[in-house]
Amino acid sequence: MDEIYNSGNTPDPAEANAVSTPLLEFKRVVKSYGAKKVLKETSFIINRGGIIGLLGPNGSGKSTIIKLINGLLVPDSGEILVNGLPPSPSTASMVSYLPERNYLPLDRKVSQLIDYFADFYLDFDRVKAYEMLQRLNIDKTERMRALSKGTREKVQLILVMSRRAELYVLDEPIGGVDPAARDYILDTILSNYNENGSILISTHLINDIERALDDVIFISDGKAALCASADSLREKYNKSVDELFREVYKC
Amino acid sequence: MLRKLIKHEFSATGGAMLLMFAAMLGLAGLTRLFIMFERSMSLFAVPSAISAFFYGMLAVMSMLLVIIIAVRRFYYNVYGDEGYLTLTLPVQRWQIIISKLLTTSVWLILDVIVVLLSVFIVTLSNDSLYFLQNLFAFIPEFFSMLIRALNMSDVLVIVEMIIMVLLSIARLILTLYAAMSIGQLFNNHRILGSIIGYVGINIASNIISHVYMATLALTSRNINLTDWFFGNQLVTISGMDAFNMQVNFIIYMLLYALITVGLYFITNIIMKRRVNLQ
Repeated sequence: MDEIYNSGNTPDPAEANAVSTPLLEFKRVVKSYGAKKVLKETSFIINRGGIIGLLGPNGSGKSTIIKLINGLLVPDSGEILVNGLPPSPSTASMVSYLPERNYLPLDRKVSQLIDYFADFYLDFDRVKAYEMLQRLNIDKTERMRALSKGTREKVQLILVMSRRAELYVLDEPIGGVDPAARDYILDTILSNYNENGSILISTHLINDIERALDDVIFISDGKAALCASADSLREKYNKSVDELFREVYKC
Repeated sequence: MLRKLIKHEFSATGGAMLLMFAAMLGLAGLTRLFIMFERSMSLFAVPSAISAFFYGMLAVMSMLLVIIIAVRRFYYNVYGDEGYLTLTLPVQRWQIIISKLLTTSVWLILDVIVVLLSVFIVTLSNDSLYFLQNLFAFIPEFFSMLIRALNMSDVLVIVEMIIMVLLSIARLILTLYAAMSIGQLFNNHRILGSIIGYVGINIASNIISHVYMATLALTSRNINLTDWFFGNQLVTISGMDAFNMQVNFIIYMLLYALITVGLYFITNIIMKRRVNLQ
């Protein structure tokens, strides 16, 4: 099993024509919460034009990585570069982030939230947002608190995916959604993102998402333990990524 | 971006504030009506008392209510779940702080105006109009007399007073923001941390002010130390000439402004580098 543990992305030859600056780069990032070291010199690179799974058990540092990308945390040492720049308001306009929790104000109507996003994010596509809402039969005049939890999560996803961002960071996008809607969500993600960008999906529900992934990054023990294309993993180990994950992280 | 943030701040807090203002003016109007009816029908004695009571309570508590609404807004929007939205917007941290500071300041000032207006509504009568007329004539004259007696320029004093009022409002609000920011450094005891932060900030500010006062007292030629120590401030002040006093006040204002700006920087630094959203 030792061979799995190598850091560094192995980009597809097809992506070789991508811009030389990586879309996202973690350079030997260290982050501790008090005495506990969560990220121990984590390094990886994400290039454009792919869907990357950020996989790992709970507590492995996935949320920390995501918060670091969005400037919600500052590393103890090391660098985080989004399009070559450290996290800042300018990188925030390039990154579309879907947090795991309910983060939208509950007293606002759906239409007001769309106005809010359109106001602050110049890459927001109102037409697309209203289209998706309609397809899911979500009433735009409803207030968030009047919607069911699942519907709220769909609204959050629609708002995030309606941006033409360069990097989408989705934290457990299908976690609380009913199985019937999961396929729709995945199709929404796959068909609606900016092809010049990438999607980073952090999840533990690998089974459902596996078919969509181009690359995977396994986070283990505070390091990016395995970065490879999903296909090459399946070939090499003759297992689905889900099975490989369970094996590697056998409790 | 700042303008957009301010717009959304007003939109988010406006509902509660305007409701409170409407209630205050409404209760004031109601009280007034009941009082008027009471003259012809003593039946209205009880309703007018009840209405007056609730109006009075609301008027007195209105400033506190504005502060509470502003504090809750700041906390939930920045350090609560909505922080995931606010802190990942393509805006600078200072814009977030300043937009909230400006909006809250406007609400506080509006609140004072509405309270005064409501008092006027309740007490509207020929007598009160007469009283107000005299008041508006008398107060400026009184102040001009006082200022000239002390040999100061009245324009300067008015400007200083306005600045101090604005600074006080800013400092009050920024103390709360800084306290909440300090509070969220304590992962599991955020509210306790905020209270500690608030108390700590006030203690520190007071120490700074008193050290300044003491230095002032010790270095002024006209001060009798025993008088100062035992709180005989009037003796202290009358011993100085106008220019001296003016300089001291300006220095005090600068100190006050410094503390206010310091609170802003504490809030900014914590929001930038030490946020830890749950």
